[in-house]
Amino acid sequence: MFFWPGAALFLILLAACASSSQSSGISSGPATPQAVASQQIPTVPSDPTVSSGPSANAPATAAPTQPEAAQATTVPSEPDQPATLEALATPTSAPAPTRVIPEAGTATPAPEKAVTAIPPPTPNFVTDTPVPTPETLVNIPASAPSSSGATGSVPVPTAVPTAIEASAAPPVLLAGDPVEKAYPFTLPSVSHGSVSLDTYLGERNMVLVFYRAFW
Amino acid sequence: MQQQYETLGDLDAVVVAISTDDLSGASYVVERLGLEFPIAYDPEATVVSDYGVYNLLHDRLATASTFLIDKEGNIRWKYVGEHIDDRPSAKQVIEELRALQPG
Repeated sequence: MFFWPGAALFLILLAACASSSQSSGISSGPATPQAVASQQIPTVPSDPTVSSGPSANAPATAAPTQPEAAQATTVPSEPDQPATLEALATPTSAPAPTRVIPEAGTATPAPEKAVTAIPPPTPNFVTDTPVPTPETLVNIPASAPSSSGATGSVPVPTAVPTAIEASAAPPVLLAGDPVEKAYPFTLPSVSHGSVSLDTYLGERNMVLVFYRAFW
Repeated sequence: MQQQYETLGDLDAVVVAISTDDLSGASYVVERLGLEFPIAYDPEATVVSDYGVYNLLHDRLATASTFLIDKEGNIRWKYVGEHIDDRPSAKQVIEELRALQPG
């Protein structure tokens, strides 16, 4: 029941192929039973617009007839040609796009990658600071103080500061500490001539005051 | 110290001041201030260094300090300042002098 329309369509297709080969005048040689059998093999794919290569099962003698059969399935029918069921089934309003199956070994173009605009890097003053080279250091203008009294120049210290001595202020002499002898002295005085420790020994106690300045 | 000079005299003590400044031309200052005790000067800081109070504050000057020396020539008490204004009061010195008095 369901095979009847398919079989009828197949027979009509064969008839169309035979008529087109006779009208084009191409001599394909005597058709052998194998060639006829090969033409009867349903090599038309389900999609009639897809062009396919020669069938691997087809013998060498039937090869010349395969492109013509494929052409009949892909090329739309001419207005001069009689309308067939196949032509009616194929939309003729616009040429159907053909899909080309890429051959093995051909390089397919890679799809373009989406390019995102990347902002330029901002300068890093830590890492992008140029390292001074000996040449640049040599070319630094010297700012030596001029003898004309120019202002703005900073004098360069020429003397190395001396190390500060560790100070240890003597503590107050407490009771019980070892008694130390006073150092004898004789010094000039402002209004008393000279002052000596020996002058007061054995007679009076002395309050000896050291001071930074008189005024 | 000048204000306590009479009290110091009662305690059988004399005050001697030593400075590293050259005071050879400063007699008028002593007269104006009315100082009665001797003011000695040690420009070379020899005596100041003997007593160990020279340049303690890194100023190449005598550090403010006070020594109590008894009649036998012994240092009985001393006070060495830790800064330029650190010095004992007259009252404190008098108390130390009284401690030296016999009996």
